[in-house]
Amino acid sequence: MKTACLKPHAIKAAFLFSFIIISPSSLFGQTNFATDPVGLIQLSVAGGSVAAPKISLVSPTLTQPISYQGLITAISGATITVAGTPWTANQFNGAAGSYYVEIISAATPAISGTLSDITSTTTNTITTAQPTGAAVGNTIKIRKDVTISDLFGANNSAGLLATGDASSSDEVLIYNGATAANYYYYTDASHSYDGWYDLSFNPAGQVTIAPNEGVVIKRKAAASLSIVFSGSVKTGNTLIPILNGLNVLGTASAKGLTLDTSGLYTGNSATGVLASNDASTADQIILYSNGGATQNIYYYYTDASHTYDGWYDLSFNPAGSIPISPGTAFVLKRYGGGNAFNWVLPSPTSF
Amino acid sequence: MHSIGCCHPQQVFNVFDGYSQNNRAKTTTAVQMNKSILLSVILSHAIIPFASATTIGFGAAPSSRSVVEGNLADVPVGSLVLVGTFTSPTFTLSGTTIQQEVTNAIADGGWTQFTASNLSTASVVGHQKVGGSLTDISAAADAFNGHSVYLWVFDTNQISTAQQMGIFAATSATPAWTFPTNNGGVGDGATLSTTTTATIAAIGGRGSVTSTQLILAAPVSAVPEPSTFTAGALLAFAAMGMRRRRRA
Repeated sequence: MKTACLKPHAIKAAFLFSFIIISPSSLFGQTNFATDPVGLIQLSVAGGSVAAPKISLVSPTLTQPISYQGLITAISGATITVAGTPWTANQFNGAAGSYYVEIISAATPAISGTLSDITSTTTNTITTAQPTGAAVGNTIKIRKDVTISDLFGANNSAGLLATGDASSSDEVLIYNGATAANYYYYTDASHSYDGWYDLSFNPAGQVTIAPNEGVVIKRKAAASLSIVFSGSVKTGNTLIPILNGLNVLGTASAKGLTLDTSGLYTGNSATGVLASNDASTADQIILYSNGGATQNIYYYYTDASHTYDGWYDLSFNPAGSIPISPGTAFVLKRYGGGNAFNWVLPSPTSF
Repeated sequence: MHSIGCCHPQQVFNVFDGYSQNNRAKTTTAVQMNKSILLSVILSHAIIPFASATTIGFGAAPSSRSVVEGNLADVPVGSLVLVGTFTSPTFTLSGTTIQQEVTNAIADGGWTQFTASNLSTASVVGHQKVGGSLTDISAAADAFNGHSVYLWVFDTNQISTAQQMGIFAATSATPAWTFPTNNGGVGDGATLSTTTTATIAAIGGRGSVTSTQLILAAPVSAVPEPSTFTAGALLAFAAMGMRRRRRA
């Protein structure tokens, strides 16, 4: 077994991250067609109470292993064709779990890291939810989505507080913009209905957590909790959609980021965060710690002189080296009515 | 510092539409939310919902109180549940129709509904429960900060066709039925309970509560029950008969 260690840029108080490359093979029992390394992430979730839950922002960072990797031989609209007949019909159409495709393009780097769900599969074609902009000769990687059951265990092996009522259970919140969907692990004395549910009691174990999505854990048990998640390291850039308003973002970078290396500021508010000489009008990055009790706000300062351009906190302390650690999530508040953009989240192409 | 991004707007749509929308497609509620967010992308210069994000949720579960009509039969699937607050919750309803009582409660109680959306009852192991969540991403959410949460439940999916209703508040609950303070970010939400961990009371003189049920009721002077009508008719006929006998 090949073993190596990668250290994150820094360790945040609320999230302890340990990342260990343990094997190039699969931890999920599937066949790998590529050699993305795999590893473990340990997340620390702060303890709280029912009356005063603590929140921790986390993200899987690691992905499911690559189920297929190959070259596009033809493309028509949202349908991508590959050589041979490598798949069975409907293999990736959702019946056996949700899958998505990633586009890798050396010719057009701007689209590398584009992700799109797969809606149907033949033996040599996949159809995505939307056209991806890919071209013949581009590489595709197909992965299965990470689900709530993957991250926290189908039987809540992570050990979140489970009761017969969402109001007294630990909750897992997945945001779409500013709106969250709440999930929790239900259990009662009969154990007849044990499982992950939403607030309408619909089964939720297979709810997916996209690479761009952060997860907010509302912890009501007093004890802190360590959660270990294993998976594959996603290499290469990832395009993450940023909307106007609130974005709860995960990080797909197992290497870790800083604000300076995040790629969030591009110098153009059409392709990155809006900078300003006033924090109240700039897009904001908010990092939560201490169970949500501490919210550190950062923005990119710029003015006509460009003398002080850079990331700062609200006390105008330089913040470019502030880390966004693997396994964490953060909030980006996009101000100013600017357009939505794709954040090009950088990650090494190899480890 | 990296300067990488160079995708044009169409690519924004491609990534968002293609991935996020369908990634959420496994849950109906989330799909609807995504559609609204998709709209915000398309109208990105017109909609800037970022300053507010208060969320109130109720968890439907087997142990939650069921929502039933006066005859203790479960309300229909998807019955209307409004969430909001009253400034003067000591009013007493005396209308003869549901519509009248709704109008009176709004006027006398100072009702303000939380968001223009509503919850619906959900089927859980054969019974109707209050479940789901509402989020207000407008500045209007600020007005609810710290106020008590009330549930206004009807026996159909719209007020105009409802025959019964009940207004419910928790006199004691952990977590309390109180709107959280809107901080415009994550964590500004509360998930509340209708199980016996919450002591719930009906207000306004409509409905009642047991350990297992939230019971709706019809307005007092609404269409009389058949038994009431029969008794009244008998008394009237008896009075007419006595008058004829005296004349004779």
